[in-house]
Amino acid sequence: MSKMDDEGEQITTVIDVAKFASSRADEINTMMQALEGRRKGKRMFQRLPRHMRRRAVSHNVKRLPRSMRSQGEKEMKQSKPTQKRKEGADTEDSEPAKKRSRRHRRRPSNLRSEFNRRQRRFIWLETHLWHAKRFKMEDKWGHRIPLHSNEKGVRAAYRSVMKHCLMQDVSYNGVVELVGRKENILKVMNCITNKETGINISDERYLNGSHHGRTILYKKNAYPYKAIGPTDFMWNALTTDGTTPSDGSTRQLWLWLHPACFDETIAEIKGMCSEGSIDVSINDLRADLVRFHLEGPLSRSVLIDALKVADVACSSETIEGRHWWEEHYLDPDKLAAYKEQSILWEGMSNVDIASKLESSCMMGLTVRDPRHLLPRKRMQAMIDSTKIIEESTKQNLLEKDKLFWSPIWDHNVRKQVKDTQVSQHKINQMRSEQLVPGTPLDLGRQESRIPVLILQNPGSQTLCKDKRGSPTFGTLGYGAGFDVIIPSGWGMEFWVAFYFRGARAGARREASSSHLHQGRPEFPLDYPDTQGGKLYAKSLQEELVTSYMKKPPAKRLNYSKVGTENPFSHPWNELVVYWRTNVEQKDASSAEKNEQLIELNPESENTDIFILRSNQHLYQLQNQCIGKCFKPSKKSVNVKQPKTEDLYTKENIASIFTNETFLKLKSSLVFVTMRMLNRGAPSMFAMICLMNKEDLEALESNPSSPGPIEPKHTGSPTPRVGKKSESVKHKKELNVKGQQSELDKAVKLQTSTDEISTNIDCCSRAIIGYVTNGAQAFSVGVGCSVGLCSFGGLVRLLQQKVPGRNAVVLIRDSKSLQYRYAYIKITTIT
Amino acid sequence: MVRLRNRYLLCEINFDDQRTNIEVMSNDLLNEIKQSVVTMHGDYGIGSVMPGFNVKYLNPYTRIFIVRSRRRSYKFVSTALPFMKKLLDKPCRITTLHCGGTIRSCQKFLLKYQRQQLSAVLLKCKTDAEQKKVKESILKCTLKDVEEEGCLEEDIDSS
Repeated sequence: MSKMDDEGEQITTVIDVAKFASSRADEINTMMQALEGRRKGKRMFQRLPRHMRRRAVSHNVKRLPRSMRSQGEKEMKQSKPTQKRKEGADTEDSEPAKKRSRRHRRRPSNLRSEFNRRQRRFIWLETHLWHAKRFKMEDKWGHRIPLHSNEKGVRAAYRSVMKHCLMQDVSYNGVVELVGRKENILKVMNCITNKETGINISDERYLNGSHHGRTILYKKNAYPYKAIGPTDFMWNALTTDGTTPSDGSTRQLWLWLHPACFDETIAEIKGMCSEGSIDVSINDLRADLVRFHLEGPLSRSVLIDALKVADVACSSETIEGRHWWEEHYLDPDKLAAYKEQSILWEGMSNVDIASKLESSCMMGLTVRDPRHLLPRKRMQAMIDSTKIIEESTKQNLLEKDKLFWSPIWDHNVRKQVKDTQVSQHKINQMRSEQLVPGTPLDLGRQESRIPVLILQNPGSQTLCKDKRGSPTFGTLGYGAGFDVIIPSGWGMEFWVAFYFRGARAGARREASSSHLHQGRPEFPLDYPDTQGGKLYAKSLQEELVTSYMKKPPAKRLNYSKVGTENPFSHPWNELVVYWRTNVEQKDASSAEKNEQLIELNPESENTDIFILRSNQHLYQLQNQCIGKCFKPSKKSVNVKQPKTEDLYTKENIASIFTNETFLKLKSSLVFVTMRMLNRGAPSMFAMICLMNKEDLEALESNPSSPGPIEPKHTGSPTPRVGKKSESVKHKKELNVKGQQSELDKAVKLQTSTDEISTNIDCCSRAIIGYVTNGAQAFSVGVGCSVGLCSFGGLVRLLQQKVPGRNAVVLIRDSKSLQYRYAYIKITTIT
Repeated sequence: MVRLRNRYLLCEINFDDQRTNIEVMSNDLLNEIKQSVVTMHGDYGIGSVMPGFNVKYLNPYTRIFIVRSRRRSYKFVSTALPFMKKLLDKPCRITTLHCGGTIRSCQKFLLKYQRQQLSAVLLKCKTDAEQKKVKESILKCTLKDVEEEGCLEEDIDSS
């Protein structure tokens, strides 16, 4: 340093010193920065001196020194990923939402709010949670509905319906309540229903509230076109005041509607009322009632065991302390009704009484809270046949006229019943406070009484005399059972009560199967003339197409090679149009005919298809179908075959229908049931075709003949959407374009959801209809199916059929080339 | 493998004719030192010194540099440094100020040293203009030294 000073002294100039100082100053600054710049690292704990650094500081703030902890917490929050925010949330709030612990999320109150949030998307049934744990659920018609059990159980479900009890929660069907004078309500209903479908809504049987009926709803005065959907209707026996009805008193009518046609119906009725200024008030009771459908012979015992009549004696002096039943049963008429109902219910276990129950009758009951009667373990309810009932009481039991009175029609009662429900938690508390554990709770007056309505369902009414030979399948009374209507809020309690008595739970798959075995059309699939049916068919097609396209091209079935033009949809329109024009051409033999055609043509320009539901016409058709069956016989049966010239003459057609009716009905579809002769169980989208002469001969000679085989079509290549094949890429532009257009065509043909004209004439046999549901029928051991045929096609079938024999068709699955013989029959059940 | 330990030598170059216009580059410096090591310690010396030998910091204005070498061979460097007689064909002398295990310690030392230097120069200032300049520089570099400055000024005034 001294040297430095010496030298500095030697050549000290102003500039030198200044420079010296400034450079030194700069260096000092640099050094200071370098020393202070420990700010390497984004997080604060990275700046700590080495001896204060700890492991796991990034998620444990306590490892930082106290002074730095707040900073550390801030940094931790920032580094956490922000939770997804919905639109309404604060965008300024940069703090991420902390996901709460699983335990917190599962606390009952939080769970409930979570469920409520989820229910906004799709409406849940009351028994949703129970089903969600055991069933595969699906979203349909705005509801979350169970589809089928998680266990395989097709045969088990069938056995339940045949021998035990199958139950379904059908509360997704909603109620429209019409309140008004009888005349007004009938005015409305007569415009939207028609007697021809089989049931007259103003029949005394239904009007007095003792029976419920099923009918089809149409748009105003549009019968037979523009159907809306089926409904189950019931009248209230009493007026809204609770008195016996007289002329001019207000009545209530409940219409149970499927969710797919609910909105349409309400809109139609409202429109009608406002237009015609009909004084009928319309209420939407969708959230008010719960309905369970029980099928099977043991359903009676399940109900008897689970529903016990409650004691409704009034014991309170003042009005304020009264429960709803004490109020309600002050009226002596209603008390008399209650007595009749309780006597009947006690006698229900007796076979003599139960067998006299009228078909489709209704019963009202006021029952005890089923939770107090719950058996310890799940058991099978059996009928106590040792119960003796006096003969005198037996005789007039069912002729009483108040058996169907029920307080459930009154919305105040329903509300009170729901509000005064004791929560499960409280009941559990009371149970735990019992002196002797396990004794049933005796709440006396405090116990809830619940009004229920029980409807009887007759089930399948087709007779199956000779299983092997008859064209029918299924047994008489298949699917008979009861429907229970309960006020909302009590669904789960009754469901568990029934389940514990041995009722097997079923869902939509079982419902479809039940309809199939009964030979009944199921809404919405078998109702393609309704809006609901069309929408359902479209959504079904989309689902099937997407699942088809998800498969790799090599694993997809090339439907064009099998000759199936529409593997995922039913082309009802094209079918009807084809048969309309076809039959017209063939029948235009006489000039008279032509004139008539031309006359009626402008009227019947209505190109809407409709399903023929008029019982009268259906009976006519049905009678033609029935005949002898094909059996292997030792003697050759000499059957007179009609000559080909006779097949298309005027007389033949006229024998079945008059010309006018024929022309009116030519755009219609008819619901048919089919039973295979030998083998095969058709599935959805199978084609119903007419036989050739050769087929008939083959069948005559050998009743167990397998049936003709469709020759293989050349078809187009399997549609591949989006991806160009290797060879295409290499080709020149022109070629590429040509190839693409062919592929596009193939794609469109098989996967398009637009309305494209399907060629009904594509196969070797003429298609007259399509199958909507089919399975192996366990009752007869052969395949059975239901479907819709065009009217024209059916008429042709009846003309071609061998007189005296059953009508036989060919059914070909959409995936196979084999035709199989099947008997066809027309059902007249609505 | 145990960590590599280094020695950082903080040195200052003093040219004989005090011209500060010479821009010294680290390469030139490095080569000169290497040359010096070769001269002093031969092949063995240079061989052991070469790995990890580089100039870490060089300030051409103050002619301060920090050179790094491995701990086991730093002695070769430190003993060869005094014998480095010229740099860029100019006679010079190298003074080792500090030897530390980290750059940081050298930097700390340098900071202290420069501060001392500045205050020393301030005392030695003859003209007011010079004093002013030096004071400015001091102000520029530190804020904490304001008190010290005050003291220093008093000393100057009194003297």
